[in-house]
Amino acid sequence: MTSLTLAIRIEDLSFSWQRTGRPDLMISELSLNEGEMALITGPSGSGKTSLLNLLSGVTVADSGRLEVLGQDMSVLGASNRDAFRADNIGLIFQIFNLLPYLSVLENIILAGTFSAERQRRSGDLEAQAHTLLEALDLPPGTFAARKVNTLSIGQQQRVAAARALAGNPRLIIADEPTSALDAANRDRFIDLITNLCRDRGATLVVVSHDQALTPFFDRRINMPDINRAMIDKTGAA
Amino acid sequence: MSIWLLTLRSLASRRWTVLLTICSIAVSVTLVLGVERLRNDAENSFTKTISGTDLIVGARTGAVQLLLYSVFRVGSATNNIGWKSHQDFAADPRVAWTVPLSLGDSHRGYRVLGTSPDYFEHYRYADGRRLEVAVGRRFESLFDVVLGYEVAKALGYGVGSALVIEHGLGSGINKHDALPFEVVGILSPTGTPVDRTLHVSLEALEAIHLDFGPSRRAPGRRLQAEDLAGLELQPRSITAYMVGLRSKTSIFSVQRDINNYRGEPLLAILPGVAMHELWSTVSVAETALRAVSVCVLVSALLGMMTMLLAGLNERRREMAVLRAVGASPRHIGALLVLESTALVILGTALGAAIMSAAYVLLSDWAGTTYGLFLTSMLPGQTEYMFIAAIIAAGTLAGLVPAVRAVRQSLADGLSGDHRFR
Repeated sequence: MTSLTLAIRIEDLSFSWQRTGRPDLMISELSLNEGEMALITGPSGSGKTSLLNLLSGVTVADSGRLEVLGQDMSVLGASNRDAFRADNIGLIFQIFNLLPYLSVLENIILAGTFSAERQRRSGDLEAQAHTLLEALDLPPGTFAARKVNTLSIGQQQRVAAARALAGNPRLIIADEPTSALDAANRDRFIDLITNLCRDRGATLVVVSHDQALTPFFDRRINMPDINRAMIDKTGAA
Repeated sequence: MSIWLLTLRSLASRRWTVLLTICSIAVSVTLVLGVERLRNDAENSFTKTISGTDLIVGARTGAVQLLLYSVFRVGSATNNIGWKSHQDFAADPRVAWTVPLSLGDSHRGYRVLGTSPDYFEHYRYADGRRLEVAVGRRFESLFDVVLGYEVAKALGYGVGSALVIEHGLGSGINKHDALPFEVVGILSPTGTPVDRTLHVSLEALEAIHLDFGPSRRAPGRRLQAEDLAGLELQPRSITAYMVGLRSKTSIFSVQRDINNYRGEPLLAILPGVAMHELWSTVSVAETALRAVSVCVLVSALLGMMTMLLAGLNERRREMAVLRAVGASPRHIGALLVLESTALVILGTALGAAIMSAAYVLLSDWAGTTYGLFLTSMLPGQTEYMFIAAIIAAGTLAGLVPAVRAVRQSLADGLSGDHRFR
């Protein structure tokens, strides 16, 4: 069994989009401790998206071992992986994180729609949503009932962060969360989310092409350095 | 935030297209249910063109043919029957009443019926409604005529108008024009062939036909009203007669006795049975009507399917967000099916409500104008089956976009948004 202190453990992982094609992602070894803040960088095509899809259980590896929070992902069926994601992973996208027909508060408590576990852990999901909004500089009195399309991009990303954190998932994954933000908003966002994750002991994995974010993180992982499929490709070229 | 609430909020955000879809479903449901209910009531209305009459007796022919000429004034009798045989059965202790019917003359295309004043008493239609004289009175003296509603309306007659009866069915050549009739009454609309009939006494018909009989008149001189004084106007033959019995239980024995009558070949029919037989011959039109309304329904469901399919592309982000918070592709599919089912249920409910409201509002008008009695105010069993079938079909139609959404969200993976950069 894997030590519980590891959030992510990868061994000899191989994955390709086309079943028969040559691998897009090959990682011999990668581990992340629980509570660690990791920044994953690399150019497009370096396997970042593939890695995120694997970590969040949307796809499965062709071979090798991937454990997330101690769970061997290869033994879970598709709907169990979806349930695992609902319970344990908070996701943030680059943009369009929110459902336009729901209010700010409703978007946050959406985290509990597919996970009774997250409802339970939060105690009271709505109350926690208020606390998170407060912590993210979005006073709930002003923002909870707002329609999301009246918010700025920066505010929308913070609402997305609140949803990712609601119900205390142990792993937060963010895919280019700051690429639509200006520098000031970017720093503020990363500062807020890393602090909230640290407070809660959650592991944070952020994918970004922006190396200026490095100082906020414990560790930076450069995809071209660990993706052997990439190394093979460049070597062949 | 339950998946139900999520569905409702998502639908509400697309309220205009959703509303249009619901309306188009509602309209076709109204049509399907309306056709079904109208068909039912039309049959009911038709088969009650004559009610309260136990038997109709005429010369031996087919049951439907006897019905057609005696009740619907369509075609004509090949033979008349004797007044004597009518009298024989009128005197039968099992018989409560008889009403003689004499047909064969017309006025500007409308049939003339010679009968007794009892006709107004015993002719019933729908659920035992009587004929009512809207203006004037029933016929009393020899040259009185009572018009059906449509005759008066179409030909512009009122009480006091004079008219001439034509011999035969409307060539207009042989007119009994020396003996004009006076309109004394006009009946209320009934929606039955009575509306298209002129009613006179049997004696009046006999009188005008004296002109054609073995001559009681000098050559070259036509019969005049004053010649009739003191003449015996009892008809020797009639076309048919209606029979009412003292007890329904004797219907079949009386019918058998009439059919076996030795004096002349007679036929007695049960009008209700013959009318159902006649109605079944028009069931092809009924089926066609139903087919059209089902086609309309299918097109409405296809419209809904199109709306949902067209919306899927714009909703990729929505699906990606739901996937991110843990929705499985199955959840996404369920969401779409829930959506289409909700649309169909709302549309069907609206359609059924419109139909019921229209029924209540239009029932009086349809009765007086078309003689169509809208009697079934509550949906019948067939209608509930239709409703269930419509909802099932709608749910099935919703499976198509649902399956597509599932495929799409699987293909998009986690980052549904990378397509929108």
